[in-house]
Amino acid sequence: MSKLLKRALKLSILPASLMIAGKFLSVFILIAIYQLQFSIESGTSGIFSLQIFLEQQENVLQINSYSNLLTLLFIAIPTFYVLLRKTILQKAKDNPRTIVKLTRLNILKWVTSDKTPILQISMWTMFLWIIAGICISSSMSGFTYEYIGIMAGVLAILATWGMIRTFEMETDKIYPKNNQAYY
Amino acid sequence: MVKREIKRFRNSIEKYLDPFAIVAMILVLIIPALAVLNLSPVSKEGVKTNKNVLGESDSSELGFAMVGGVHDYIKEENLDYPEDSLYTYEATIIKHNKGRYSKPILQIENSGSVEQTLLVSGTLETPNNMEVSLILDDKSYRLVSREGEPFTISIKVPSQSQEIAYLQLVSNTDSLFNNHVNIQFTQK
Repeated sequence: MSKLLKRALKLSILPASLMIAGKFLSVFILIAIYQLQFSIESGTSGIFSLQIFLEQQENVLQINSYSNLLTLLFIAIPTFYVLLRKTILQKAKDNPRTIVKLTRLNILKWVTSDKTPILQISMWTMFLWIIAGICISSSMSGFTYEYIGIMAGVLAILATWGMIRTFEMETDKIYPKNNQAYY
Repeated sequence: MVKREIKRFRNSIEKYLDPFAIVAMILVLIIPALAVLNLSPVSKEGVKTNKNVLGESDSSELGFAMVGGVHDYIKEENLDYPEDSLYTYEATIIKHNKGRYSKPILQIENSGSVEQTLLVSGTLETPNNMEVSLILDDKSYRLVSREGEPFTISIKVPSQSQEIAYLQLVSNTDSLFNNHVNIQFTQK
């Protein structure tokens, strides 16, 4: 098996499980917070045979919206964390002033090693695209508040831009631009 | 020697594992998406309105049944269901002497848990100084006046109820020819 596939599989397990667990927990926590009546029955509209049923349509909109928002945040926060880490690391390599700032803020240790490869960033961004797609389609069908769909779209665009920037940084290491050295 | 053979064998096997790894990778991307979609709750209200499933009829909670029976002047009764939420009752009124006549025509049943509203309107083919009314729950509702003017009335059918509707004809003069009555029930 190729090393790339092995690594990609290994890296995708965490976001995949976080996405399922995030949605599952957020739905049931929200049901408990709003004290709603629910039942798990076999339905014909879902992909799997079992589905969660709520009594009122308004509650469905509320629970779907907030659970989608929480799941989106569960994926978006680590994605932007790895992107930020990679960007700061690269900045620190390029500019000594960044190292000074990091030392002042006492977070130098946080970026001393390159533990955020491009593959990890790509995997997280791919999962962010998936959850953003679900949020957008759900808000277009009227099952999620509109602002959550817009927010998901904006986050997906930002993460994609960050991923492209990181990819450029990585390729610059192989094919350096004139008068610039990359480490 | 043996170790080398084992390594060679493992390397040859690993070549065939790549397609499985690709499938596994695709599944890792698809399964969370499906799980998130399926974990989205749905409402029971939404499911009730979408019963377009084989073996599931589009049954209304409101049911109409003709009482039937024999009457001297109200004959050739017919109950039709031309479209959703619309029921049509038709009958032929045989020529008769002046007087008041009534007949139980329909059994209206509301099997649902919500009170239903019905809009009832009636027409006479030829107005002939005859008033047509519907009697429901001991209340009389005028559908056609003596002058032939049609009326639309609104009646409430309580939940879990069965009521018999009567057709009442009041003629001040003898009716010298057969007539035709049409009553439409529209579910609101």
